[in-house]
Amino acid sequence: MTAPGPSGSLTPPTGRQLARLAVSELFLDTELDEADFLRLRDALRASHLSLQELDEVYYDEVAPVLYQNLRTPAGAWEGFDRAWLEERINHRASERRLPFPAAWRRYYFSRSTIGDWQRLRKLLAAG
Amino acid sequence: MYHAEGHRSAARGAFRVGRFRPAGAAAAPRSHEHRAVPSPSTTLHYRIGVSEVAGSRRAFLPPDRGSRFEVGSWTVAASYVPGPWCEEGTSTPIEDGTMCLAPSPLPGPVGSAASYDYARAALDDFAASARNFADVFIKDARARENYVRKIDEMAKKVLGDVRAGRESAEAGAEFAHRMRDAIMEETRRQSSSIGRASAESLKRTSKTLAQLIEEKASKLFPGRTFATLAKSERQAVFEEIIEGAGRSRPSVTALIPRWRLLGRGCLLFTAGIAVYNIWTARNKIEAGLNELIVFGGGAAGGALAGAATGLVCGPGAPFCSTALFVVGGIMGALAAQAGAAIYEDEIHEFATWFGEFW
Repeated sequence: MTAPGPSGSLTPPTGRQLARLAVSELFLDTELDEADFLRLRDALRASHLSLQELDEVYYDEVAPVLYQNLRTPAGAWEGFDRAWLEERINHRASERRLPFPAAWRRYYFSRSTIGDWQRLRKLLAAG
Repeated sequence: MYHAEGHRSAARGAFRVGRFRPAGAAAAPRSHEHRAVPSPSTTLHYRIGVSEVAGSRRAFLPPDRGSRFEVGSWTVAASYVPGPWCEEGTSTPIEDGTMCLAPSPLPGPVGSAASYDYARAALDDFAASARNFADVFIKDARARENYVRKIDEMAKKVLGDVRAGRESAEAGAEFAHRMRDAIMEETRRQSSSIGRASAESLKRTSKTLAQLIEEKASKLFPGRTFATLAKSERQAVFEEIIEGAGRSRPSVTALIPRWRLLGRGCLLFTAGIAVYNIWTARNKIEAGLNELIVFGGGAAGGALAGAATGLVCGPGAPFCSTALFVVGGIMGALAAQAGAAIYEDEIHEFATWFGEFW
């Protein structure tokens, strides 16, 4: 899995980018079954990120960019463009944020998918 | 010294003069009567809505001014003709049996600005916006409901055809995949401008059939590729693709009742404001017409803004679309209010005629 790098060359995704792509599937307009959760668990394990880092990826990087997909009548259902997702996450990191408490922001962006994330987190913690 | 008596119209406070009479020639004035006490040589100033009408005593007399000021007659001392005061040329519905009913003016010099009710006008604009948002919520709820039903029906039909042997599994999987995309695009077109902009702001990928086949193969048979699967296993992969095309997110579908509730709440708020405005107006028919005009203007403004979203904001700009939608609705309501003020007399006449007809 590769994406165009800054110089236009194809660069292999880092562990964090793989984790972002896996977490983004929680925001697709399709029903995830047990096999999907196991697949996502394996993908997140392959990223070699800690649970705390994965929480950051979910709450602070992916959820703020993709939460709107689950608040529209017909959202994306197959997947999100990886290069676009990376660009949006990096752009958002450089933006000045509104002075809302971090806990409120996390709740607002993740309330549609928090149940799925907790389920995935349990699978990861179970080892 | 003459007394001018009259009443403010229900809609925008236009002053209508009934009859001038000499002081002391009639019964003691009631506290709720509007009174102006000019001397014959005094210039009268009345502010009506946002425009000022000024004129000398003579200015009220010529019949060509009668469209706004219906002057009855002049009486001089000791020439009082028995009869009700403030009788207008056209019949005016008076609901409580009291003639010349008008609120007492606020203390202040004659000629001060009329108490144009900015708060009420702002509330009308807000209500018009709420009505537009009711449209958004209800439209999106309906679009989601149709979307979920259509993709489910489509997947079941294709799966039935494949299992009955009327279609090959591979062709069925490809068709279901393309149909899901087509139904999604159609639903986005049917949804509100805000919902459409939100959906288009997220760049999705459309996988090829080969990508889907490998993804589903690794999901159903971990560690194996499609090429290594047996015929029955490949059939299962194709059926998984078809069933996947019919699945939607239950948590989004669960929002339908909430969207409907929000839509109905907005409608209820709008209706509440309208009922209050009509209930507290003197001329309820005229006030009802004004409410219709303002809400119609707001709806037209919102619809125009929604249609212009793509042109002004471009695709996938939810914040711009929302702002344009709100501003469009308010501008439409303001334009309708201005139009209603310009044609106030016509609306009053129509309301009078309609009241008589009804």
